[in-house]
Amino acid sequence: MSSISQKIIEEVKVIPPLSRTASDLIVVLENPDHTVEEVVHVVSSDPMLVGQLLKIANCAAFARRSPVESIGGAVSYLGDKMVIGIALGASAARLYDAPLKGYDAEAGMLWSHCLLTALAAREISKFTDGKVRGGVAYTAGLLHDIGKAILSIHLEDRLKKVFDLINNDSYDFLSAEKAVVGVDHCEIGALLGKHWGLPKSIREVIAHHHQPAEAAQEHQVLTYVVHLADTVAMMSGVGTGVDSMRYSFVPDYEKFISLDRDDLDRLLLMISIEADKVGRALNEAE
Amino acid sequence: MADTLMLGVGEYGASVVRGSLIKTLALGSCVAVIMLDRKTRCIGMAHVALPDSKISPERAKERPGHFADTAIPALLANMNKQAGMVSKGAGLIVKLAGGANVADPNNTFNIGKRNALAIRKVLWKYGLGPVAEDVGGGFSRSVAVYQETGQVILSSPGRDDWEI
Repeated sequence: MSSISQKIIEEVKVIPPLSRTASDLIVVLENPDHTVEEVVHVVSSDPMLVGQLLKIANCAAFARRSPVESIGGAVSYLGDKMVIGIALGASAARLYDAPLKGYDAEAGMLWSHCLLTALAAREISKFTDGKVRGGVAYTAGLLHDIGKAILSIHLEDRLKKVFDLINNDSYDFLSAEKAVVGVDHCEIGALLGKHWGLPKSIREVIAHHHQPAEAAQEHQVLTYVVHLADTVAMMSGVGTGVDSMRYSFVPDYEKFISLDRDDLDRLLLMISIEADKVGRALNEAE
Repeated sequence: MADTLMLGVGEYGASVVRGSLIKTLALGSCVAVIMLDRKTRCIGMAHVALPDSKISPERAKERPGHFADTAIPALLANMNKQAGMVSKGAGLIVKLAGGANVADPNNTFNIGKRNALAIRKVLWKYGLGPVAEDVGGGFSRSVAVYQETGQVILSSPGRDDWEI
């Protein structure tokens, strides 16, 4: 293993843990039979998050006639997927909101891309014949690219080499990362997932979202869902930065996901509208 | 600083202001339709995301630039409003950029290609056709159109800017 790879692995070990609320919400949402009460129970132990949820639920972008005044009301109104998004965004803000110079991405671009991927993953899960639940697809979408936040600094001075490989030697961005740095953002993200104690399903997605056929069989459909969702986000113009649309596409998704052209058009339309709404709500609440 | 009009997904706009500029970023599979009128020196652009408005007539009403079939008439009407009356046929220069694709043999995810095709079909109805285009491929583009020079400059990470 190269000295850079070793250094990056050491860096992962000192990343602060996720907040207790975010970790507990990930576990609750992974259970397909979870209830609103369970989500409310976790949220109510975190006063900062409660305040944030009430503020967002009452902001003008949602145009409500009567105010949301209870935790239960805010969770029901926003939906548990948005709640996990807000909790995770707050807990790992340092990673999500920093500019990623190695990807030439401004502050907030990683978060926008992950949010759009999460929304798309939630919708695509509806085309898996019940094999993937929207909640876990959404969480996996939020976390799939977290490794970029760590790898970025190590790519910064090596981007020219990465593009030389892409432009002249038919590499995709992932294999170029690996060739130039020694590890890619999926490997680093999966290590961080382990450090954070994330469930195996989410770690498999982080590790294999660009090569879903390599995911453990029981998590393969979920990994394909996020692979497509990541592609949809990039097609919509919301990639993380210079790597957008530079990854290999795995076309055998049709084994698990029955999505046709009209479905995809509707999906692209829906996520562009919803991303707009969520983005405005979060900005307003800041 | 030049008067800059920035277009988001599904937006369109036109300008006759001297020295102005219209820009759109990160097209992904969306296609930018660029129009330049020789006579009035009016520039216009639409950031088209989907081929057909049939999937959402409500969205088409709210944001006609989102779909190929509603974006082009809306852009032409806007240019006519800004510039009086823009040229018809060969007097109006049309260029296309964007429409990045992924290699999907199922043809579902080739939305960039479908967008470009739908736009060309609508342009034909108006007796128009692109004189230059840079569409397809596996990379996202940004576009800037300069009123003063009529230049259409494309950019993409990892390569030098280029003109179409």
